[in-house]
Amino acid sequence: MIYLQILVNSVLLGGMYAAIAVGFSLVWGVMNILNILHGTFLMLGGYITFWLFHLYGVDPFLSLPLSAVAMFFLGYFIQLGIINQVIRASFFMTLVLTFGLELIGVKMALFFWTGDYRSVQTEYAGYSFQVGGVVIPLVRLALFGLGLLLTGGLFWFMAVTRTGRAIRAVRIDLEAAQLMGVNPAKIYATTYGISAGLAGAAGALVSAGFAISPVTDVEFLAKSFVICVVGGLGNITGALAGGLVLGLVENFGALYFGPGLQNALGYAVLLLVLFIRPSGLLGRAGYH
Amino acid sequence: MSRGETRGGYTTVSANDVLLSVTGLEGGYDQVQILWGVDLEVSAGEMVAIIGSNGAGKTTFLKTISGVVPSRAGTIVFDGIALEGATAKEIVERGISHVPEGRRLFGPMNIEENLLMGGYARGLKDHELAADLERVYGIFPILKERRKQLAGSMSGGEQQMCAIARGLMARPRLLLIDELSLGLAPRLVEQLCANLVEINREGVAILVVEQDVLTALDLAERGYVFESGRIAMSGTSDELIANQEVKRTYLGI
Repeated sequence: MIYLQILVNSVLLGGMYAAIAVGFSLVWGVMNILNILHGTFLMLGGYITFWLFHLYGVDPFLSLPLSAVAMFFLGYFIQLGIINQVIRASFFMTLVLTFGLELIGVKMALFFWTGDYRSVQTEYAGYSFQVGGVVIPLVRLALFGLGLLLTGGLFWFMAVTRTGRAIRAVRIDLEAAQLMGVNPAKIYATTYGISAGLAGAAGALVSAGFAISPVTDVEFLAKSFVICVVGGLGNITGALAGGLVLGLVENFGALYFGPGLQNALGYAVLLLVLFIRPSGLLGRAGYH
Repeated sequence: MSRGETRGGYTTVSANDVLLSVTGLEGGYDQVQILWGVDLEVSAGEMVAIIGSNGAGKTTFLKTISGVVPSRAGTIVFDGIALEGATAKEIVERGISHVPEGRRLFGPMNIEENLLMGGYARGLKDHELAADLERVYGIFPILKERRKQLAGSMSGGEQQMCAIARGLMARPRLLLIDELSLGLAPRLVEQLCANLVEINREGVAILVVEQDVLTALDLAERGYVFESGRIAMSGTSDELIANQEVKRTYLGI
């Protein structure tokens, strides 16, 4: 029974992990940017949720869209105003730039909000129900469901909408996309905004179930990185697969090796996948 | 436009009919200048060919017209409006559509998605483009049959049809085609030429770059010969075919 319980826990966690990582994967796949700011958007989304709950009593699931929209616009303008200036420069230029912006974001958050861990304690935080002896915490289930919804929503957006198609076109052939009348600067900004918006929403999810602090942004970033590389870089189903794998590895790893080694095991799997299947479990290049 | 009026050459076109007028165009990439003062005109509804050897600047010329390569000097006037400083997006919106060399389809997308990308600049929703899809499927029925097939998995001829159809989805008044026949079997080239004549009859002006001189001059009413980034010669197709230098250089007779 313990195994079944851990399996369920892992899957529930994996759904949320997919939502954490999918925006990171989008930016990496479309623009070839290793976006160090990703964890910062998650952290800020979490803080928006925390403060709205703490100051005004807004339910975290209600403030999720607000976090998403706020982070979309923040991301959109960061890309349009700053990152687009060096988008044609080397991979390391954008990496260093987003690293610098991350430092600014985190230090400001530490300055204004301190490094204390904060958590959202809703009335229903402790609710759970049992199915065949397996305990399912209500909040974890909601995080799983919304995580899948966000990931599936992005999949739908990329596959069906006019803008999603333009994002794929820019990824496949930039010059041909320009000939179709696509403005790359705007498409990059939109892509980055969507990624940040998804991170904001995922941050709201995280804060509904876990404690957050300005420095947790690095943890989110590291998880996103592992999930994307394990699942396969730059594709949405890869983020889902990577999220589930990481959820399983962390939970079963905690059972066999103790919770202290959770993160280390995540990286061990990362290395293993890189040795055995460097393109990731569902690896294909880009959002095609 | 005083230069355009005083320039000689042909006199069959009245100023009102001029759709595209290029004067003294210079351009290229970073440190390399490729175009050294190109003068060229296309009238509304006309079919014009550009011929010339590799590296003569034909592709760069088309890219400069469609705004993906910046110009350094000279003017491009389309439908009475100077395109100076216009972005690629604005140029498509004004009615110039570019079918690039090598097709450049979005390989991992299916045919229909490629065609919908062609209509992107018009800012419409997919269902509003449905009538236009039917129109281009009318010209290229094979594309309708294969509309869910990935563009990258099709034969060269089908890809070229898809590229031209994608160009038409922007509802252009001028269609630029770079290397129509490259790598295609003669039977397919004939088919494509027939398609272009049909498209041209519907009032779309066509400026086609074509390495096969006979195909080019058979298709077009007039032609320009590019040499080292300049226009070496221009005239009606009959004049060019009869020209000794064209015969010697491009036809090998």
